Amino acid sequence: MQVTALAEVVMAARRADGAISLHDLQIRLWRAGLEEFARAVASLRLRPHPEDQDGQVQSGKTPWA
Amino acid sequence: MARLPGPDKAFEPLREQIHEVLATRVSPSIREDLVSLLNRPGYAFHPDGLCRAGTLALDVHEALARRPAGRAGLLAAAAVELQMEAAYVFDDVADAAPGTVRSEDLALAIALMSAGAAAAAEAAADSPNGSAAMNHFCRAYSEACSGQALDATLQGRGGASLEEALQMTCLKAGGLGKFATGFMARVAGADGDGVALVERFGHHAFTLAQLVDDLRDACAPGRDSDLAQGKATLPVAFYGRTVDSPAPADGMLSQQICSTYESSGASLYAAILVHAYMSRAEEDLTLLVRHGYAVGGLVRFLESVDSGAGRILSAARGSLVS
Repeated sequence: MQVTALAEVVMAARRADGAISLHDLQIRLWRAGLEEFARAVASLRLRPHPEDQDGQVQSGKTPWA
Repeated sequence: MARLPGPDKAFEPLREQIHEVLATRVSPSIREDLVSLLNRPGYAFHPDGLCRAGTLALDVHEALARRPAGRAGLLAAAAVELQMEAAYVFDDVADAAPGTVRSEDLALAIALMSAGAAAAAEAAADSPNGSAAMNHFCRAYSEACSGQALDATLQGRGGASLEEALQMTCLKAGGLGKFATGFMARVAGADGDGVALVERFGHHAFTLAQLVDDLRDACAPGRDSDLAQGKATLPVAFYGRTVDSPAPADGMLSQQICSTYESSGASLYAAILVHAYMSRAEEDLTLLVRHGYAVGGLVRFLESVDSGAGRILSAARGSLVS
């Protein structure tokens, strides 16, 4: 399992404001050939958002969002 | 090793078997101490105890033999659970606060392992190839011990790499899953394919449970989190790559450090690994079904791990942009 490659992609996916888009991360993982992790991100995206069950992002609540 | 909540009543036959093993294979001079130990929170006789190894072993028996376990199966499940409980003792002693004297617990751990070995020998005696079952019992458990040794080494050294953290997790937790499933498969008389398939499932399911545990325990204000203690888990190792000094020398994490951790991507990183191992375990179940095994119990086992992970994973997912 390519845990170091995954870490590099996750860190590279952080935007200037510290936020990470799961959609963007998924694309980066596919492009890096890390299909298993890309599928894992797709699965993670299906998890319910704890503060917003509709999937709408409530910006400003954390450094990432 | 991960300890997640589980159904209590389903454990009763297993707990009764463990009680019988302690009553018949352990000296009276230490028996009550062992019972007291196993009644501690998180251990096998406590209402919150999980009996993960024994429960998984019984699910493996049901999958392979298509019937509930008889005496040999229950003995085998008790044997792997006693070894698992001994591993918990090692973890608790290793994680004890500096200056805490826990040496008496090490004697109890050795006694638990002796009782487990006695139960395993009796279970294996009734199996088609008892020597192969006992050979696996010893070799696979020692593999998990190598993970515990690596865990202690990496924690003492500090600065574990992600590859080292993964190796430790797979040896320690995945090794215990392979140990429990492989022993029961051999006691149940499974063929080579059946043994290999359930061992893969055990390895993936226990690694998954450990990753969930590591994600939950990674960071919190104070001295008790994995980050504060400098543990070599994957989320802590990831965080160590993103900052110059992961934790203060006094081991006391401030709210500010926890905020930095939460924004590092470490939780997301660990959550991705959890989902990857969940997919692997689900693929193993698919293969078991294709080979004609009855996987209902194994599905429930995996669902119990996932239900314990749900809130933690949602929290990790919740701080992200979709």
